[in-house]
Amino acid sequence: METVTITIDGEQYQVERGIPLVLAAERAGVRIPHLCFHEGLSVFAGCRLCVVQIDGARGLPTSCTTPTADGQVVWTKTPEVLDMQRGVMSLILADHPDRCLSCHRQEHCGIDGICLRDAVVTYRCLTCAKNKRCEFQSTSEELEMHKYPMRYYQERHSWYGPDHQERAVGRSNPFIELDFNECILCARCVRACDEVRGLSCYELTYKGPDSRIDTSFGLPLQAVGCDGCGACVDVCPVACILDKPSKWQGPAQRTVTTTCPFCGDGCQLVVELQQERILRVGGVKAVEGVPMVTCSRGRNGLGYVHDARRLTQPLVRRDGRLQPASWDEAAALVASRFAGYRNGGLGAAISPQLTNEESYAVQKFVRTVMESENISVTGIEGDRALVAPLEAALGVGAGTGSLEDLAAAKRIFMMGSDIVSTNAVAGWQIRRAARMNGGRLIVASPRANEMTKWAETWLQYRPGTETALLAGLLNVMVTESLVNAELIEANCEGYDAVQAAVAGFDPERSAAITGVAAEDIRRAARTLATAGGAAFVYDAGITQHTGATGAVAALVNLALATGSLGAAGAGLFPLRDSSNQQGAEDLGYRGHGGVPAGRALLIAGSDPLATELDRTGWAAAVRAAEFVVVFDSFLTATAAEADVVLPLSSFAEQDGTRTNSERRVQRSRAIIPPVGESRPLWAGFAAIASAMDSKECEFFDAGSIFDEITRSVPSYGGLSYERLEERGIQWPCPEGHHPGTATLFAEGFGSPRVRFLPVAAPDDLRPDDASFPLLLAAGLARVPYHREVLAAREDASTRAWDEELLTLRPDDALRFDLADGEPVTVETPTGSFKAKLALDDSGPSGVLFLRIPVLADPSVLLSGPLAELLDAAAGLRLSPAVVRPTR
Amino acid sequence: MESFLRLLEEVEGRRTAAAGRALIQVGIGSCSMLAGAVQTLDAARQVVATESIGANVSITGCNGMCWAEPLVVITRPGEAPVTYGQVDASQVAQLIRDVVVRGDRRAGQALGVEGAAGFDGIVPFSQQPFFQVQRRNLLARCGVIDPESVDEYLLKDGYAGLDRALTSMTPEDIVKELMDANLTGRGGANFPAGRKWDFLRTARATPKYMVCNADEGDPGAFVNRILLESDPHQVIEGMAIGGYTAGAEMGFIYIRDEYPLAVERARKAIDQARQAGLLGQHVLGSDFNFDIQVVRGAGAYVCGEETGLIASIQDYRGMPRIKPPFPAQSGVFFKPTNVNNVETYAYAPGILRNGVEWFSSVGTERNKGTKLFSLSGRINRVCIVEVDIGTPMRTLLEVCAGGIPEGHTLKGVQQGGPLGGVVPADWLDTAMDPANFNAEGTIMGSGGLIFLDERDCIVDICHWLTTFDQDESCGRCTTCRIGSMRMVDILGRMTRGTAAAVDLQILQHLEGVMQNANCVHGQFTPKPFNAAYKWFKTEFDAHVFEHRCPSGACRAMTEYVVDPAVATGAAAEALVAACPVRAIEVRSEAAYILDEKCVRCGLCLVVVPGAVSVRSKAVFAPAQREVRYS
Repeated sequence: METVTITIDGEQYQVERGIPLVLAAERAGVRIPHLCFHEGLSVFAGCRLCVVQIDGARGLPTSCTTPTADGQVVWTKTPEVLDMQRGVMSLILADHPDRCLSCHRQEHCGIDGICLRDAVVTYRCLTCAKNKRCEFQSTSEELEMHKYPMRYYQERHSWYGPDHQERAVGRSNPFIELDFNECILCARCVRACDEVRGLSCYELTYKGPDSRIDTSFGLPLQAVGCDGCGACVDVCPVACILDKPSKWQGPAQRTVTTTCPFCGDGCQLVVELQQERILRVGGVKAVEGVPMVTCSRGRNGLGYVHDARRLTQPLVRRDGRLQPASWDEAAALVASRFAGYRNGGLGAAISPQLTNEESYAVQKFVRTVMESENISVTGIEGDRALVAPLEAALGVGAGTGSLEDLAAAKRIFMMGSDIVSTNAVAGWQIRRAARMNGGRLIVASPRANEMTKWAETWLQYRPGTETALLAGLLNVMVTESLVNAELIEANCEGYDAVQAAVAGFDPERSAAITGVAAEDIRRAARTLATAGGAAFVYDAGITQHTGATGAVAALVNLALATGSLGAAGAGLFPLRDSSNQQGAEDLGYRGHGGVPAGRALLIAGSDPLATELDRTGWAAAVRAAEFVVVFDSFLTATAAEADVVLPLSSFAEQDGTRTNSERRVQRSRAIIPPVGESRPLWAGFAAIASAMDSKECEFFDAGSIFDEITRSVPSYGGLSYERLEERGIQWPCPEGHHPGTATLFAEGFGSPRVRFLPVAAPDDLRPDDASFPLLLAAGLARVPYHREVLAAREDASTRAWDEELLTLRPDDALRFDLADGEPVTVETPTGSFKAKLALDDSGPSGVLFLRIPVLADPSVLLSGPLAELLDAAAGLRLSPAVVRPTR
Repeated sequence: MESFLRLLEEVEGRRTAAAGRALIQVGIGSCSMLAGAVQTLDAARQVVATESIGANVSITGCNGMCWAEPLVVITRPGEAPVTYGQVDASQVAQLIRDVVVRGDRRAGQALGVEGAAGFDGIVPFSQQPFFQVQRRNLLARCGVIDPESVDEYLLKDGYAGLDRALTSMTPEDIVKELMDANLTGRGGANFPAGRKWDFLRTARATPKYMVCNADEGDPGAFVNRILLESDPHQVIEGMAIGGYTAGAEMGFIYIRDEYPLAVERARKAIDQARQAGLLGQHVLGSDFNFDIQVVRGAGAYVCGEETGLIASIQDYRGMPRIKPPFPAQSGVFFKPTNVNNVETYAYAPGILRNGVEWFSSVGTERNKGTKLFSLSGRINRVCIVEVDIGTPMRTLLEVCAGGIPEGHTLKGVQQGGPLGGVVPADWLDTAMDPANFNAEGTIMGSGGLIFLDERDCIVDICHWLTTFDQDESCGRCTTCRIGSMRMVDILGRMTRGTAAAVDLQILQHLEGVMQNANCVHGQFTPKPFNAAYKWFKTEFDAHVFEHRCPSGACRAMTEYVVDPAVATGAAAEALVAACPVRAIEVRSEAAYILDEKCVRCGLCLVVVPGAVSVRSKAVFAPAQREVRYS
């Protein structure tokens, strides 16, 4: 950052060169009133409020359009400036439905008192939803508008009467309420939606006195692509755009910034509290120029922590029923029973949503006190498989770049599911790259989704043929000598074997298997193999099928071949499904997610009986175990089967850290006091260990555990809570002054050499049996937020489950004479099941897609061989099938 | 040079093939089409075809004599072209029979003849005052050539300037020549065009774009329209010269969609130029590539502001952008761009062809060359003229426009469009030079002059102009969007007679606040009021303090009173028939005016003299203002 010295009102300040003056002043602690400027958004310069005087400059320039320059002498409080600002403000006030802000009696009655004059109730700030948290109100007070007679009366007699074209309040969206009668046309919402989110839900329409901001085409938000991320709510300075659930709840009593507990993007949330309850959630304003982000899930999905069904005290099974008990009692019981399962008798499974401190505590307890290695992480099938090949090839089991760099990526290859709905914030960065920054996006996906809309090339492959497609890409690069041979020669081994393996996969053969046009494969390969490398973004969507690690390994090979590692905005980007899957792996978890072996079971924070694919296997294991202990916030299906259930604090009640997909370790902060007697996991284990007379788990607070973590995990070596206070740090951060590592291998590979991974391409999966002409692809529906799942199911704020379960292309349906919504029977070589058919042209032809809901028991919805189809944890299978109308 | 000569030879060959017959040209432009010129053309074609008259019928543009539309120009073999005025479809057949077949000159209907000498009693244009006061540099070919034929342009020295630029001049030479000539922007800002082109030439980013601003939105201004409709190639040639100078390979002509004929002719001309090798790859066989695309405006006045126009070309909302960066750094598609007015581009070929002296020998000390003006309002002859910069306004009014209608007196001139102002009648002897207007705090603008007489109320005109500005605000700046709304409120109160003294103070304060707008639209919106208040203070005072309208134009403060003794019988019927808003009916055998319907157009005052008179109506204004709290 280049700094310059500027003088503001006689004081000298060191500020960044070239940034808007208004921002530089704000950072230096001098506020210049403004309404349309917002850090992280482009400059609009519409409110005209931020005028200043600059020595040597003509007139009163707006400070948002004036970049800082060395030696600037700025005056922000001269009479000319204040007069202009008040003139502008009174113009805005003349067009804003209130009488309080400019009323000279304000000193007597206060902005929210009883009106001593005759202003109509609806004209007062008191009756406005934004009262006392309104930027417009505070700006007006800052300029002391009530002391200056209002000059510009408007001729409207009433804002809500017949002579005013009042605009209807938009109440149809479940999350956001729109009341444009208060609008001051700052266009922040237009810019936030466009620039931060990559959408255009809002627009400026009409001109002159009819100028207005409206949703695009005047349609309801949900009809113009809005996902409810709330960026517009965060930036609106007046009461136009507000969170619907909390609109009338008033200002916060305090706010806490914490890390979102949902997906692996790890957004920072600003949680507003009232009476120690979560009132509303906003995105952080902007950190170092990175604009605020949060998706609908983090914004609207945290309410479950206040759910009345939270466990408030330990439960112990007596007489076959779970009955309340004290912590001491429960800890003593667990301690006495666990004593019998030392040295391998205990199997443990934890949720990938736990904090680093919690997972460390469990691990330490299981390994040292219980002397067991049977410990695994539950969660999405194949989440571990996202990075295992990276560890094998590169020695680092994590993504190599930074998510925010994706917005400026020049070439992006995306493979997997609909990232905008699973890892929304990462998806937005890619959409911004493709839509605004000239990034060339190639999406490999069997089905159409949000990202295929923005793709330059969409490789629509048949499910299960990922490796064949990737082999085809590498083949083009090899045969056309597009690979970065110099880099490979210097740093990589195993290239010859891989080269030989893909030799047979020319685009034509690859096309025959995958159903993608050979020319598209060629074009995509040429795009990706350009100097500077590409970003390879993928998620568990590709690892759920059999042969999962093969696809990731092939992606690693592509990244190495194109020389993509080490540059910002390029490299490998596995997007994690859970908020701390990465952290758990950093701390040494390597379990593949199966049922842990052991005569006793310890399940912390997850509900495998309801959320794991292998529900039957888990149910059998739980039933067979001699003693089952479950830590959870709710009485889940698994907890109901346990012998002891210990109440667990939710993310909102404890301190800790989480590590996101880009290796950023971030603080998660206690927001509310613990509910009932619930405790963080580490506190629970401290109690149990002490009851077992062990000195190994004497944990007192999360901070001391984190210190222990930094001592035992080298890449976390330089971290501490103090250093993580502002914003997280990306590991490796080996020592105290290390700034963290945004991009791995930026300094080259060093030694040891990195490896290409052998990949076996699968055979052609095209069904050859004429009696089963279709391919049935089963996929797991998302939203399995593990220990949050119970609450999430009840919470209206999670995404509606309106998607159909079984989908087929309309042209295929015509072949089989089937109609939309028709009850059908799906037959596979091993049996059949019934379902309702929905027509949907997003997938490739000849493929029948089946969504398996997480929460529901498949046997309820479907009958037949699905259990076989989904058996064990081997990943989701593909099967030849035929579909017939049910008679 | 060789390619150009070859092209000229081809054109010459085509011409000789068509020579030896009489030529009948009908002037087709937007204004003459309204006067029925298309029907005249059809009738001419029909009579020539059915009666096998040995003549070619073609079209031409508009020569500026708007009052005499439709115009028909007849050239007999070996003679100079004679122009006939007001030839409607019913007369044209006989005219052709008379002139072409029978050899009768019809001198009575002839407006004039080209060239130095007249014949048969027809006075040559060169000896008529209307033309004598003009210097037709840009209009030389308007109304003479067929605007839809590149051949005719080429035969009249067309593309010789471009040829000279490509064959014998470097871009630096051209910049120097324009700077020497001191060609300034004709859109109203008067920035030196050579300097502007040089900015673009030295800009580092590529590609670069030339943009022609033909979004002529000022009410009463139609000088760009005549150039694009009557001589589009002149503009295209100018843009190509600019492209060569600045290193741009693409140009856009942004034409307001209210000019459909201009759009059509510009497109046709571009196509023809491409076919002739005057646009496209390797222009005239050189290494220079240049092409032009026509962009149609979508009806926003503010898109005449250059950055608003650029935004509109990019399909963004038509909003002026924040400057800096200026278009020369970041314009169309965020690449270096030069925006000039139609007239400015049209001048480049002439300067290159005829030299600096040709241009700069006329004009005033500060501003050289000629300027087009479109004259309208309360005058006898609506017209478009081209005069030397510095010509007195009186010449324009008295010689060109034929003066104010009999019995009326000039009150003022609305100049510079809705962001300009109104100057008083004693400005008649002021030279038309931008410098003279700027010195008085107003602008000369792009050439539209609307003459006002004593029937027009200055406050009402101000209210109307400000309402126009308000409606055309893009909505970005608070000061412009809301400020103009408040101005309209106050001026509206004045026209209704309900304004108070404080309103004048508010307007003056508002003017200061409105200077804080991003673009000139907001900054100049108070200008009409300022200028008018400066010169017509008494009229404002009458509205504000005495609640009356001296001109009798403000509806609320005047009433039309019928004299029942005069307005009876046939006179009453005539009044009823004349009223365009049906505000007059017959009651008790006399005409009666429905006051709420009457728009004070004044037609009834002239239809039956003495039947209706204007009277001041008392307005009881509230003590302070109409506004009250809730």
